[in-house]
Amino acid sequence: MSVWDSIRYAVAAVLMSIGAFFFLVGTLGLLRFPDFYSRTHGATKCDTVGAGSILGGLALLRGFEPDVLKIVAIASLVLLTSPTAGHALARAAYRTGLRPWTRRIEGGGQT
Amino acid sequence: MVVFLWGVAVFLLAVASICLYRAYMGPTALDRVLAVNVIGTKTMVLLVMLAFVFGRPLYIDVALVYALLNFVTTVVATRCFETGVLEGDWQ
Amino acid sequence: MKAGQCAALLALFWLVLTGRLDLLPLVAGVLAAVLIAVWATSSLWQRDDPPVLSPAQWLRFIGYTVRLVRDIVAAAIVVAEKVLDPRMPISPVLIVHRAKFDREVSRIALANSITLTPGTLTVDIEGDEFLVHCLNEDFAADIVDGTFDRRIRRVFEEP
Repeated sequence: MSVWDSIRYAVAAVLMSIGAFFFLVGTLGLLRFPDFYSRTHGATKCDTVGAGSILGGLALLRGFEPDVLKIVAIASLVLLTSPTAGHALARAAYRTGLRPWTRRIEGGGQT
Repeated sequence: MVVFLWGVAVFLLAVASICLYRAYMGPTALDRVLAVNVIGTKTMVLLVMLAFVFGRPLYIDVALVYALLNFVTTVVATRCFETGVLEGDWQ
Repeated sequence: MKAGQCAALLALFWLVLTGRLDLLPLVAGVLAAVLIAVWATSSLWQRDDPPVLSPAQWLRFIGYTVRLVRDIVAAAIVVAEKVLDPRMPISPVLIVHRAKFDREVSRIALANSITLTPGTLTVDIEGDEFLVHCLNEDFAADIVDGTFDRRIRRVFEEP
């Protein structure tokens, strides 16, 4: 166990703790927010960061192995599919007539 | 380090079971789909952690397939909910 | 060009999945990648604009991704503050944002970037209109003043 290894392990542990924290926050958002759209906010964002952080920590823990590429592939997949899934959910809710309790603003008409 | 990994894994499992509350209570069907999607993400991360805990790299492949399936399930479920059918024009 | 890039990406993915360099799996993977790429370019992307990028665009895309990751982390912290605040200070609004792009890829990139940044979520896309759900009106500032549009145009629309 060299110094380099201990630093690596410590950083991996910190990253994984941060990820676990964001997972907890995402779940709390899922439980606490008042309507469906806000819940989608909490779930998609915090889950992306949580999963990315934990997977990054695990990749660091593994060191230089071919498996790390697989973990990176999973992380980029999550980064790519999580917003798409959130968008599909929100669109289905909007098209089937679930209205959020808001006012609608006509604005931001850039070209 | 293995003890720490076990701790995070058990924590994730506990958080995922809290999500089940929303899947059970959710006022709309989409709330349930969202909760299942969130649980799926957590399960995927859990699988990668178990690959480290048990020392079986094969679990990482399972996690990769699980991530893909999770995404496809969500999109198909919302599509079915939105249009009522699974065939027909895309978009 | 199109088929070649697609085949290279698929072969790379195959390499990541198998994780070693034996002859037989390598040949099988490259063969499958080429076949799928030819099929995709000939029949799947017949009408649509295929999502291929030039080398310069790839470089800028990597820079854009790094910047986006930084934005996402900042966004997640802001949302976490909102969730953990016992008073839950949110007042959601729906905003219609118009942005005109030449390519399909740019629209997808904009929709995904909006969803990944804090407090904003793309709900619906109809033509050039993006319907964005914001947790607070302040979060919409970056989208309404067109910062995102300019960034994405710089990455994907210039050759």
